[in-house]
Amino acid sequence: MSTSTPDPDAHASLREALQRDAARVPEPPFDAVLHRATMRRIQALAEAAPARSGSPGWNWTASLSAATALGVICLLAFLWLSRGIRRNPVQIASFAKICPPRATVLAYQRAMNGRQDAFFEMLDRDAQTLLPPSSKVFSNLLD
Amino acid sequence: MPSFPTEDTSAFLALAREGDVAAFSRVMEAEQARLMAQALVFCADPHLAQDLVQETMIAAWKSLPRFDGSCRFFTWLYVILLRQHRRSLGWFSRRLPMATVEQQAAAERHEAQEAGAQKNEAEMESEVLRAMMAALPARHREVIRLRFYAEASEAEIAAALGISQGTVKSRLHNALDKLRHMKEKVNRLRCDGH
Repeated sequence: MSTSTPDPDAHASLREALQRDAARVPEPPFDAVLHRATMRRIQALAEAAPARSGSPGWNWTASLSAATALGVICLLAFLWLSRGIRRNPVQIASFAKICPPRATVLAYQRAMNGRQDAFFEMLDRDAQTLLPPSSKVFSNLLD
Repeated sequence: MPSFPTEDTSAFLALAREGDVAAFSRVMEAEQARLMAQALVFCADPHLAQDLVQETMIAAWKSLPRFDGSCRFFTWLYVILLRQHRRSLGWFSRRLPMATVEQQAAAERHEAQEAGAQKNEAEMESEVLRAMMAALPARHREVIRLRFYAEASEAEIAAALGISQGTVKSRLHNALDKLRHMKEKVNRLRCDGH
């Protein structure tokens, strides 16, 4: 497409010529026969329209297509979500296995600097995961 | 010039949009002659023009619920007329090659020389202009016809065609540019002949 800026003067004579030509178009008299014939066809169309509206037309087809598309989308979304739900517990469990919840070194340092009972509380809590009863250390002691 | 809808026309249009065939008939009575005049410009043959007007009126009736009053009713009808004409031509609705316009100019020159009489200047201007318009791409031809033959404003054309006013301006400018170049070429051919 041209990007040149419009110059009205460049087209002035052409505009005038087009206006002259448009003014020269003769207007024929009203054609009553044509009008009646056309209106009869339109009347027939208008009468056929209410009868047609009861039967499944394109609106129904469009609605049906939209509903089918929506159904497929819902099914896909359900499958995707259920797959995600099934996978998530495994992921959480494996994550918990790799990274059991325990306090950080910084938390221990802070606890040491603060109250001692908080420090021991943390130790008690983390000992269960760091040294579970099934740990080899305890089995050796029992032996 | 296409008239602005009077209060009566608006009332009839409102009734027609609700399915009142008699009201639509009243509206079309007022527009038919103007529509036929434009159809005769496109078709030249009166029988084809009658068919075109009939098909336009039927298409207008079917699309009437979509007429929102953002442009004059005649402008809206004129767009339907243009599209019905394009549809009726089918493959032939493609624009004429420039060579056809040049041939037409050469034929006119020859005809004028043969007859030895001065052909009416206005008639010749009209024939050349219409041949040049036939050589324009459809989207350019559409805006030229709407602007000059239906006397629609740029805002009205934009509303009737469902495009922006900027696009109308640009199409109009490009169409006039193309017509100017064609006219220069035709004038050169005419001068060469004399």
